[in-house]
Amino acid sequence: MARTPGVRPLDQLIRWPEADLARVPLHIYNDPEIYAWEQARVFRGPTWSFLALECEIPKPNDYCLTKVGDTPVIVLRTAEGAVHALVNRCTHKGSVLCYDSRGENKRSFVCPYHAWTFDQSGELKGIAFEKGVGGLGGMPEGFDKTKHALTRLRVETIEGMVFGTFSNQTPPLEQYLGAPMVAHIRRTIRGRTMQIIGRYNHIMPSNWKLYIENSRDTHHPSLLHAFFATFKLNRLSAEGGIRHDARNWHHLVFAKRHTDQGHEEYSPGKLRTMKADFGLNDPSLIAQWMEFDDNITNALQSIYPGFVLQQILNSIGTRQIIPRGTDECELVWTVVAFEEDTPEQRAIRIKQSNLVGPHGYVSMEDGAIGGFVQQGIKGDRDKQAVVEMGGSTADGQPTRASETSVRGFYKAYRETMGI
Amino acid sequence: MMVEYVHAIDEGEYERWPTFFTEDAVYQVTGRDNHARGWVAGMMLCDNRDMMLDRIYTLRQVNLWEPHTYRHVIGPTQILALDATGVVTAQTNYLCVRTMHDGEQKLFSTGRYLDRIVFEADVPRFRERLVISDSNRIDTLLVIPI
Ligand code: FES
Ligand SMILES: [Fe+2]
Repeated sequence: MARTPGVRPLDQLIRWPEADLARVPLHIYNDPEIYAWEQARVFRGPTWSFLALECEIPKPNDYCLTKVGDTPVIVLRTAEGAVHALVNRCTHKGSVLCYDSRGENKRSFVCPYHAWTFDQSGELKGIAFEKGVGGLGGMPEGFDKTKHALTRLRVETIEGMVFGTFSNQTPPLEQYLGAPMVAHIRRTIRGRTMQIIGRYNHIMPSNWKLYIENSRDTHHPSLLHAFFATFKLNRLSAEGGIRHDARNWHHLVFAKRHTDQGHEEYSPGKLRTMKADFGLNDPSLIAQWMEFDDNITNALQSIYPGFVLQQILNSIGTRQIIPRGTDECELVWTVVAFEEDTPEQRAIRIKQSNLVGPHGYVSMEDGAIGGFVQQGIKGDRDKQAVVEMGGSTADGQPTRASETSVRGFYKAYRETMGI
Repeated sequence: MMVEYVHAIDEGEYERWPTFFTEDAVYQVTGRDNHARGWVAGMMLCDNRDMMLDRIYTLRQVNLWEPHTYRHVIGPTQILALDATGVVTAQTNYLCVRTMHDGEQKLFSTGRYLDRIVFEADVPRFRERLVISDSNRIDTLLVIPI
């Protein structure tokens, strides 16, 4: 990958403290030059990014807008029914082609600025006044329209979820995900037909990596989120574990709430998050039906770089991270039901959307905590974070009292960044 | 009632918040776009008063958040309908500014309340209060009801 213009080479910017994965240099969270490298190497590198759900573009000629890192992207269904993804940047002077977040009957894309026209594959089909006026002006004789197509992403879908990649080095999606990840995605969606029931655009006052670390931080839920601990929904004393792909890039963390045997650490008075006297006036909020044969009640699947597939009780949804500069990011939560659900099941999913999102009983702290870290590290850019719980490797572990999944993120990060 | 509601919240008297609702009331915060698309799983959805009590208890005791308060400014209430059973449908514009403990002030949400109001022994109560924020974005977290 070529050097990003105006940005110093990476080896002058980052020196990773140790050969192992147990330390993270704090300045990677607020350095604009590193941010620029991430755009090139992580988001436009050999990685698959989540783009949209297929049910957002159900009909031919539907489109919706998304982002891969900073890059605006159009996701569309062609007249023939295929899913394409194009960079939303006119090749003339760079205007966005679409500025409405979704639309239908869109067979071609006409730039609002000077009306260059592109087809659904991104080919440049027309230039207004290409031949000039009265034989004067216009584009030169040899101007080759085929050289000015929109940048097109490779696209693959799995279980109704659309992923895209900029790099032709990225392995096919299923190979990139690895068998254990593919198996869990199929187990969660099971071929059912998704229907979006809600979307939350959650602005977080932190670097995008701090949220991703948080979603992979398997030992924080019962320590940060009192709701999880108090209702024994996701304590470390319940059966659970961490699975990963062969490269340790993607991680799945899961728990089975009904197996919770308790632990001394959770006895009254020890942890802030254990509120012994708290009972819900309306306990139906956490009543769930056992949707899966594996008895897993809580599963977060993190796909590098910025995607999470979530099952919190019966709340199923996707989370997509969109960086917004070094100090802010947007987390797009989409919660879904399935056409196959009974009305009762659908009602439970709707009710349990209280658990997730910026307002979520078990997730609202995550919006704040990244901001706490971002504030805390400002004056100490030369210091390091300690990520040593459960050792210094990134392999799967039969316990969640471990930071292996965070180390997995940094393994993937260092490999894609080349540092 | 409209004014009392926002004062109770803005002055931090969160325990009063559920008292503005009937027992079986629905309270929900949602974004304009979610609402327009019929996406029903908005934010902070309570479908009875017990769930509202739970929201307030967790706000006080369970959830962790940087201290902040709201200041609402509401517009005149427009009555949209009055049905034979005495249910009033009304809407009211609002603007809600959030002040953090360090003094930072930010426009947190602006939108409209879409209400169904009933009278219980002459006291008006919300049977339904839909808070339709003009933006689908929430900054950091939503813990205090709007
Ligand atoms: S910028 Fe698109 S046609 Fe000029
Ligand atoms: Fe969390």
